[in-house]
Amino acid sequence: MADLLSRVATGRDRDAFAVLFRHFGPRLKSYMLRRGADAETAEELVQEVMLAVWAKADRYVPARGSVAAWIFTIARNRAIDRLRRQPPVRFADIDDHDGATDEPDGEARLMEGEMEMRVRGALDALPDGQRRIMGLAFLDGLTQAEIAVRLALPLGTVKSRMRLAYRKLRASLAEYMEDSR
Amino acid sequence: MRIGHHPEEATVIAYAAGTLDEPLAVAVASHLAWCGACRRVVRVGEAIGGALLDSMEETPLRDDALARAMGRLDAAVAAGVRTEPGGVDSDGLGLPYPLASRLGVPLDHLRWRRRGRGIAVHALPLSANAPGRLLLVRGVAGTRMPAHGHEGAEITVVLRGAYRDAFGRFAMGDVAELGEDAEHAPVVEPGEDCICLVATEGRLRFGNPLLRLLRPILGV
Repeated sequence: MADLLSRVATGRDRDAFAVLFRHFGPRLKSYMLRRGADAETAEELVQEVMLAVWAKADRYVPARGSVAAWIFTIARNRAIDRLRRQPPVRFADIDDHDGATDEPDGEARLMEGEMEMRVRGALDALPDGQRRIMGLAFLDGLTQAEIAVRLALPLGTVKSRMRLAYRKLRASLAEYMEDSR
Repeated sequence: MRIGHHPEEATVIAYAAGTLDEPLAVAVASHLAWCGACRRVVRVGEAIGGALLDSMEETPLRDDALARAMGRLDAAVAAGVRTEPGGVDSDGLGLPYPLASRLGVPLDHLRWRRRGRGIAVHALPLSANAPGRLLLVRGVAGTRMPAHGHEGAEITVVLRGAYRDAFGRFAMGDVAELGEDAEHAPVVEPGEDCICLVATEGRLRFGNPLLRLLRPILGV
């Protein structure tokens, strides 16, 4: 994936873009539908996200996360804007703050797929209750309070399960990131 | 800056998932602009979001979806990449970007409304669809705030000065995240006024019925 995006960034490679579109487009449509878009809006939001991928491809830095994670942030911000009808609140690109990385892009691109597999493995290994909550937050876009109502759980339980899930996923990524807090 | 108090990890993860309402998101983002440790929590959160997105089922797109996108590529570039905010203090206001971009002027140039002895507030506008409130609260050095609890979550980010309460000392960059049950009675440290960004989900609730009379102090 990182190679495809790099071809888009450096060579404005339309074939590489088409491959990315065929992979992410149908998934992005599922995401927008789950966040409450109607079919028409979901279709348009997929266009907007993928066009942003094309226009901003040179801003993707492989050492900082997977292509899927980068595309997720674009999709998330569109969903907040259009479906939640609130402005997405950016804190300046994380990338702008964390400074340059000394990881060569080539090596980082190799690791990118590996990192993605690690997170997916760790997600699959979560207990059902924790995985369900992560899905309701990240894919359905529900707040912690909404998740608590949906699952008939105390708010504190929702928070503690999110924290537990986060810690396990962070551990799976430990060797790819600097130590977290 | 030494930051001793952070938002809960679950709150930062909710920010990464894109589910915090505007006032809470502005408060968390303001802290993030100053806190590398919490930015790493966001990065893990976004990795989780990416992996979940990538493992979603596929919903077929309209037959012409790819062709339509291909036809719009040149226009997308011509329209320009949205310019991302620059640095932490991009406007030279000494404030984190998410706040600086909303205020546009230094804290000292704001119109503050007095809410009783030693306390002034400035309400920040939110979009029509955003629940909750976003306030700047300024306490004169040495001020004791009345004890109060909260009906919903409240996130406070210290922008200048410092205060103490039962939970500890909070200075620039620190976050106090109070849940529904928490009560506190902050005391502003002597020496410098304390200015905080306060994001609330619900209305403040005063424990003592007499203290309800103090509601106007905070304008809530």
